[in-house]
Amino acid sequence: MIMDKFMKPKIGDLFIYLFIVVLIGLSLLGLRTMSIDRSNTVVQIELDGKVIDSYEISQEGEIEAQEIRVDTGQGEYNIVRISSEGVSVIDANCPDKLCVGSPTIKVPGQSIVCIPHKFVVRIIGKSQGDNAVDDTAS
Amino acid sequence: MNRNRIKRICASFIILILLLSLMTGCISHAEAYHDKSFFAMDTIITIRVFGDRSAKKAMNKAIDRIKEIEKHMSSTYKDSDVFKINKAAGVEPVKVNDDTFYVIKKALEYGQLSDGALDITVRPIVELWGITSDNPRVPSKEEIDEKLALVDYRKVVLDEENKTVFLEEKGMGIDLGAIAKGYAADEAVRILREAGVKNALLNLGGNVITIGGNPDGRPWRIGIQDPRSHETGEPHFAIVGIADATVVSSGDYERYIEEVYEKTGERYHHIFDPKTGYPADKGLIASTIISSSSIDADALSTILFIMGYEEGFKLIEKLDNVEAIAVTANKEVYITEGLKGSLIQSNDNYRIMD
Repeated sequence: MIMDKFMKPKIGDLFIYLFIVVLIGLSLLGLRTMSIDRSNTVVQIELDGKVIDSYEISQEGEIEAQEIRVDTGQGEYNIVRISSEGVSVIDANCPDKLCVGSPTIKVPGQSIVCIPHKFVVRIIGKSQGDNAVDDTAS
Repeated sequence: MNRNRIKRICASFIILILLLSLMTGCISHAEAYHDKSFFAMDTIITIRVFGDRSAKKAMNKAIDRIKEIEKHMSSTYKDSDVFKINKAAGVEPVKVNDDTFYVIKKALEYGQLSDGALDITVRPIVELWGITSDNPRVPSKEEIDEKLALVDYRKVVLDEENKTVFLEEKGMGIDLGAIAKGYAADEAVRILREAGVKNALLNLGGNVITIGGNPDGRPWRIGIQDPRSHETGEPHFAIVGIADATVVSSGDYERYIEEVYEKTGERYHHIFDPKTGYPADKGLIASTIISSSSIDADALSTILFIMGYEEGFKLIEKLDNVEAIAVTANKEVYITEGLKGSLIQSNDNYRIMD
């Protein structure tokens, strides 16, 4: 009997079914975005607290090395190198050069900061394995 | 109206509600949080709070509070309390904000506790070396001795009633760098807690402070910076699990005169021994304090680094709820009783001693 009624849907029912389909689609989309957030690693560059650039990198296999020059707009710059070895700042015209001296970063949660230029490059992503941490005290 | 139709509409709504709850369930599973990074107190500060919009509001309030503390305690702002105190050294007492008064008082208490290992009047020495300036250099013994005469925390006079601070001699100067970040962190945590925040992770220039544990139900896992990261290629040498606690590290690895280091291998770093006027040299390359109060942890990590393992641990083991880690130049790691069995070693370049 129920089947019989489904064969002849009324116009109001159709709207409801359409709505449900859209909802299913939306929730699937939500699930997909969340799973992306969890698996991918992103190198993010920030100036004065604002994200100005980000590069998605794969955690497996070789990464083609690239150098990115970041200008603050006031004649200040930091040059970031992304490669299979990790992420480092290879040159900058800040007075203390602490960023250039910072060790290469490799895992999510790590960052290199240049305080005079208010510059940060950080690795974002889900940190994995036995040595995964939420943060590091330094 | 057809009864079946009503049934069908009801069924559809039930499915709809189920779907909606699935979606929200999914979102709350991802643990909604708000975070912000900003530059203040000569460093980078990151705050991450878990919760709804009220948590975000509390986060912004905490950020404003940190900036307010910076305004009073920075030594470079021309109208900060610290700037005024230093300018009036040997001349007159300066009326200060309650925050500044509290922090200086606390710093002097730690000066006494550590018999002068932590001394906020070490500023003339710091300026002489210029480690954090554009032109760091190794001064002569004469220059150091001359400035050392100005270093003595007992010559900071506090007037509790009028909330004034006076440096007895001309040329003296104070720097709250070793302790102000700790105070700012405690204040930020107080504001977040008062607003009902149950889980948060704060990082003030490497000082890690937590509220609650990780929202996934486990403690926060905090790495302790590998002081020889350049050599080992490792980010941290140990991991500690904490909740409602703070982890603060000090070490010779953050700032040092690079040119001299490259030529001679001698590491002139930025943590000065107020008794010698030279960078602290009691055998440690890094020290860490884990406790509930960040101002205490900030002060004690510097004290431990300057006093060295033996003297430092003697002092710390007398205190309640304070744990410590000391790393020596030959990569031996000493830990207090409370950490035994719970500190996780994360790279084998170091040896945790019993």
